[in-house]
Amino acid sequence: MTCIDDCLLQKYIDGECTETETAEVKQHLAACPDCAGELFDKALLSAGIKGAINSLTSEIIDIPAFRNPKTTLPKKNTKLIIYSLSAACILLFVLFSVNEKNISNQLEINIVQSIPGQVDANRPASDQEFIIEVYDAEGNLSEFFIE
Amino acid sequence: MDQFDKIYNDNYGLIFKVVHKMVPNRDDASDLVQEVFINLYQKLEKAVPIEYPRSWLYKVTVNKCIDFSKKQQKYEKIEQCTHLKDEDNGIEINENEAIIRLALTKLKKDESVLAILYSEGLSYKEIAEITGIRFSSVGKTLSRTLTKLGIELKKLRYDLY
Repeated sequence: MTCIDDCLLQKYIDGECTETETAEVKQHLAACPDCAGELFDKALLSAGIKGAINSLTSEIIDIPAFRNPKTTLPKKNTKLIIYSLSAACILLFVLFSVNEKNISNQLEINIVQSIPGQVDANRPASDQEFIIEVYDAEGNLSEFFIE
Repeated sequence: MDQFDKIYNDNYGLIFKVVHKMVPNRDDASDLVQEVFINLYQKLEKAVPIEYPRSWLYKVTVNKCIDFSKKQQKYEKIEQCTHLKDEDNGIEINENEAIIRLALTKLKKDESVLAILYSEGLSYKEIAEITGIRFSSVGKTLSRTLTKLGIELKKLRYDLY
């Protein structure tokens, strides 16, 4: 009489045997106390391990609302902000290079960059307005709108 | 996307449990689960056919968890003590949890995945689809893995019965 191998015992414990296999195992177990003991140990081990691993997480899980990936800020919008600011810097450089003679007598110049209202992080930068304010020494204001 | 909403609501809990068994930190686990479902959302949006969404979700989940734990190597910290605090959340991890997680790290990655999927009560057919183990080999591999895990838990004086 050949004893049942581990694989077949495990399948029997997990209810994965075919009808023929189940009948064979039952017949063998009735006549073989060693295999019956082995089955008992394996069943305990399987149940114990299932219980142990299942204790790692709680049964009650709250399902959060799904965050649609489209509502998150795409990376290219961050790039747009960088491009807009770079463009503003180039514009100012060109502007002051052209008018260098006119401003050479000025003592100081103030450049204030501001964003009207609140920045909406969920909207692309291209949809939002940026303003660069330039004050010359006499207090005259020039505004540059960047969209 | 009614189809997606149904899959999300039906499977979120199942997927979260698998992830949390592999990734101790609850916030990390939540983020990974969201990533899995974002993948699914994008597939459905592009009308990619997914025959068995649950198996697909488990498969993606397992791969993401393996990648995550390779990067994090957090299990190494567990090895150093048996009573830990999850500093990110201030949640105390009890001794038993630390022992079980440590014992799982003693197995090969595919073996610990197999043990975790088994604990979820999946059929051999589903386990074979998710892990890539041949259907005819699942019983044998599982038996060997459970014996190995039992020995590791015994070494750590964890009372299984």
